[in-house]
Amino acid sequence: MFDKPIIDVLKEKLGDRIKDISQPRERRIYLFVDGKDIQDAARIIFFDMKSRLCTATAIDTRLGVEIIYHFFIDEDGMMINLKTVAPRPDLIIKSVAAVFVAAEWIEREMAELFGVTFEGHPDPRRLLLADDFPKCIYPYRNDYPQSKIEGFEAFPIDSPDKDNTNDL
Amino acid sequence: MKETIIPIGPFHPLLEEPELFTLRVEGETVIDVDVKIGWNHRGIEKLAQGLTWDQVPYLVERICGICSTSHPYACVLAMEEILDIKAPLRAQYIRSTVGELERIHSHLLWLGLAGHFVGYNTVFMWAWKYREFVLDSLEHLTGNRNHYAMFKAGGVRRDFSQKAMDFTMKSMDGVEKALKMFLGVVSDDPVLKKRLVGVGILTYEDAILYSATGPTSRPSGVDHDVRRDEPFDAYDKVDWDVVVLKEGDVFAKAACRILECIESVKIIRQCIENMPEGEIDAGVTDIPPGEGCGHYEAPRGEVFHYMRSDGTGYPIRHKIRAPTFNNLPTFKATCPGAHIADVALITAAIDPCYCCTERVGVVDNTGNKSVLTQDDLTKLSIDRTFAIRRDLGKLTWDPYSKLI
Repeated sequence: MFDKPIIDVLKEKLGDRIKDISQPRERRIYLFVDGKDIQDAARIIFFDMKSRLCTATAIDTRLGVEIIYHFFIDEDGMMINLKTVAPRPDLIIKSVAAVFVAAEWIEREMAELFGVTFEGHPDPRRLLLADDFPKCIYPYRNDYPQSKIEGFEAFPIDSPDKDNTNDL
Repeated sequence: MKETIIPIGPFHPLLEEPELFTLRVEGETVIDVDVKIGWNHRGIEKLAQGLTWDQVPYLVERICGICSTSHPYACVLAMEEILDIKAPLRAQYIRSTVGELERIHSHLLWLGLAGHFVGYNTVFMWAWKYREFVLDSLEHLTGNRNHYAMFKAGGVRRDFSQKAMDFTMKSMDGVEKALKMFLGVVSDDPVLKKRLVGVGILTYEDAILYSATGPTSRPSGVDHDVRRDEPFDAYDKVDWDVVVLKEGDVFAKAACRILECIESVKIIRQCIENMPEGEIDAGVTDIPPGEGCGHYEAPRGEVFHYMRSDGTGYPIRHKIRAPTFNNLPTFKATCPGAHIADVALITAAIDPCYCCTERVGVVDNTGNKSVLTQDDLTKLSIDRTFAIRRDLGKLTWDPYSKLI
């Protein structure tokens, strides 16, 4: 589709918004942009370069929650991994779902599992967690308590001395 | 007209995942739909971070009983990208054969269920009968009808025996004959055409916007297939085509699946005929630091795995995205405007196992409540088929004497 290598197209279209770019494998490009530029970069890669959003990955790191949007250009077989960081302590970043609908569910998932706030998300409800799951506890973070959470019991277990044979 | 809210779900016996569809209807026309998922969230990504690299393919195999090859496939491709190696040639052919056999059995399962929901129980019986040949082949080749545990980083765990490969070649003849018969049944039947053509159309633009994948988007004219676009293993060494249709309705989705099965038979035959001799394992010992993405075209669409390693024995992050995660939101585009009896079909056209529900509560705004069972919803759908049959003068027997 493009008359020159995709990495050069990206450099041309995004200019100095790219903080870091590399192509470690033939079909993989990793690029890093600041949080304020994520909407622009996603719009250019999704609409102008005619890619599709595979999904997004959030990773809990020391700097904050690292977010990687994985785009795939079907025609060229090239995967573009767009990275950014939602900085601690408030973990706020602009929403890509406001630009195109494909990112809606995955951002809802990242918001509830990692506690990232996506500014401008059109439908910021919970997707996977139960409605009565405690607020401000994020299961996929590294500091998630491995022991029981106060005030929340996912599956109440009957005491062993209770006779529940009649329930069957 | 008064607006009614119909929740479908969250628990139904035919789907492996509980989901809740909240339909807003006016009369018999759907005007909006909302999907809620999460009852079956098992935290597999978090679990994977506590397992060794060798254990992770076993874990991801258990995400889905039908896609039990696709997830390990994408997972080992991601690992091999971190390692920067490729599996030996014989292992590549073995992997592709297992992947394609899985595609046929998944599509036949879907075809049978779809046949049941439009009131064609003969299709249901036949599709599942021929699916047994595929499962038998898988049992001969890998040792199990499901959960084959064939995949590991850098190769496969077990070799194919010549006897099993001969058996598979023989059963492929029968399967191909059956598939061609199904294609004839679907494309020639006027009732089926009237029932399925123009129902639940996903337009090309919507398929792109929602980033839908697999047999959800290819019938809408989106020409993509991971196996061709990013060739791996045996897929660039054999001759096959990507099935792309234009219409985007349920009929096109059914046709696309059957045509894909015929392509899969082609791939399996070539893989077994040209099966090279040699090693099946590259002997991977540890995974270096790095990150890798693996994706594979599962029967329902693209499966995506992202893995990051810091050089220890465990992945520090393992992201998994199943195709339904991208395909489910397309209901927002396909359901509005549809007849309520078609909703079961439209949803079934995306996910092979979904049709109706264990129980559906019909709640209107005044709070009166009545309950429709799964049988009631199936009956609604079957009734519609028979109404069409009667109009066409094709109804030769009383449907109510032979219902479920």
